Amino acid sequence: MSTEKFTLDNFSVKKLDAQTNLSDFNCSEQDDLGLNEFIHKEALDYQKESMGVTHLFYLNDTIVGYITVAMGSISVKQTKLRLKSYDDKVRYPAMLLGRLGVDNKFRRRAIGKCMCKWSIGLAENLSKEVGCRFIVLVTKSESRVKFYKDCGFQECPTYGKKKKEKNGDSQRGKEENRMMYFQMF
Amino acid sequence: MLFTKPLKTFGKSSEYKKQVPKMKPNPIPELEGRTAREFEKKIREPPTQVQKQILKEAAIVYKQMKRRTK
Repeated sequence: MSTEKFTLDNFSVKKLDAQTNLSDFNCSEQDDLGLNEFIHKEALDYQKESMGVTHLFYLNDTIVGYITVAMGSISVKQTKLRLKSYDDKVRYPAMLLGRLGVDNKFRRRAIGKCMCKWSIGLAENLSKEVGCRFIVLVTKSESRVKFYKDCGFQECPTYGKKKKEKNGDSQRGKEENRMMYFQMF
Repeated sequence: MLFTKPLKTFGKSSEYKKQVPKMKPNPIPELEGRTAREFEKKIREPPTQVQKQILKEAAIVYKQMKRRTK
């Protein structure tokens, strides 16, 4: 594990492009969400199709992490609390934090938290120009939920009905999807 | 134009398979019933001190890192 001191002064961000060298980046530890495969095989295609933009975080000249963001929304069916001017369903505009991965060598150094805060700052800036009330994400496992809670996210109250395990897909059925959000005001 | 073939044949073509990424992100669920009510109630609560602090920190981090964007 690298012991290089991490401060904001030597931390920078850059968008993924076809010239980016990702050969040294590896976030395969505890990677049941497929984050390592995504950044190496899929992220650029996503970007070309405008399905998500990947931002790479550098500590000096080393890539230490990435996030992929896209536009999204939180759909909520009618409740008594809603303003009457809305239809039976409202889609709150949100920025989707699709992926967040930190290199194996740079974990437990608050880099992920810093990247998360950067994404909140990005959404806050977006919300000045385009309607964007939340940052939303869907994740799995208690440790990740705790990480996002530490970053100010809230878990959506009772979401997370257990999926029925299908034959040959038993691993996926074990962990529930957990939706989390951060409200911009 | 990106999609030029009829939909029926397009889904099976290798061209389509190359274009569409395989790894789909987890979908954002639609909230309804009790979940929707609790969500609507929660988002009307004022932000906590911690959330306000995080928003301030986030603005600082974003501003400082934007200046050094490569």
